[in-house]
Amino acid sequence: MKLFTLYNLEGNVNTYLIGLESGGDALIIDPGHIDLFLLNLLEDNNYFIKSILITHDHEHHTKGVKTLMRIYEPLIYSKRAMIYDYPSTTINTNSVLNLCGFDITVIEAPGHSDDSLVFRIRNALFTGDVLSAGKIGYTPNLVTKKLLQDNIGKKIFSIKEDLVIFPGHGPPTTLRAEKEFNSSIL
Amino acid sequence: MIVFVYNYGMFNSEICAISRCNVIKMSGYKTCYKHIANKKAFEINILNYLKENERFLDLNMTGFPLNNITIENKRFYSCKFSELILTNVKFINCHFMQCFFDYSQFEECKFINTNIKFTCFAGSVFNNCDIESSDILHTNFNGIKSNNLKINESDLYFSGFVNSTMDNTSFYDCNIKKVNFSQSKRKNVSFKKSNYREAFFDRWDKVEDI
Repeated sequence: MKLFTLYNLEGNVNTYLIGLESGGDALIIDPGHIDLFLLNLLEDNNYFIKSILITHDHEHHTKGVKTLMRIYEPLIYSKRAMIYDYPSTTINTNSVLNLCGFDITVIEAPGHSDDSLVFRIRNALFTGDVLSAGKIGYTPNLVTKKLLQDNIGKKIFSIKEDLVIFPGHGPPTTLRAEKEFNSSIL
Repeated sequence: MIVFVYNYGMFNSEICAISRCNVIKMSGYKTCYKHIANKKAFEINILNYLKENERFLDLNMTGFPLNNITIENKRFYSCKFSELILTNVKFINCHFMQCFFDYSQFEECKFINTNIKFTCFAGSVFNNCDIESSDILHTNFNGIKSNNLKINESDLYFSGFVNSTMDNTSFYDCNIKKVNFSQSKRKNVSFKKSNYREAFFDRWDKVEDI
């Protein structure tokens, strides 16, 4: 498994490209921005974008969808039925995904947005804006903040293993560190 | 628009072959460090491996003690260095991309002219350590405990020291932008000659710039 972490200055968003060592079908999580650099990276590694996973439908996490659709026509997976004008396969906690050779577990964690999802691939969690290093996603009011905190506590912090966390914004972290140091939850 | 590629690779998640042990196995071995029978031979192997190669990918050294060594001109990508115990280790001109040093212990260590990106030091302890002339971007120092840590002439961008405990720590002549110091407990911490205007502190926090 190859994981490319791409950092986009616009919105300070992390995009993750995941594929097999041998090339072939690849998936991209939160394509906030697609440019020639990323396209060259795909070509150099013999990748073909087959799937797009969206943690939540906020523009700086999805802006690159249009470009990818024009080039690769991948399938989109998100909580929404549509992303821009493109149909998306609606997924939830019960969804069993096997994309590009990877088993993907879907965790619903609304709060930051009503469509927030977390993806688990092997020993990594891709948390979007649900959980970042030392903080949780922005919430518009105390009710949604409580909802997000509850979701993180019940669905993410209940995981026993120490997983690595790749958030939508900011540096990577680990589940153990977040349980211990995330002051938004403590 | 700028897009950086920080690394490639992914951590090996195979666990130790000893039953009921859930620790990830060491690179090239079937068990974790604790369950390696011949630790001396393993240490020699690892040190030779570090000496002979310049680029390391997916290297797992969880829990390994590293003493009195200078590591120069090496690049580490997606390496797992969790719970490492480092004493008197100097990293000179090294690159760390998406490495995990979480819950490690650094005693009298130096990072000189290093490039640290998308890396995690959460929960680590730094005693009598220096970080000099280094670029630190997107790096997680949340929950660290530092005593006599000197960070000099370095750039810190988009990083976090949330919930950290810092004693006798100095940030001298550093560019500190979008760095989160919220909930940090600081005693005798100096930001002399540093640009910290774009760092995040708690509203009630008093920042020491002398």
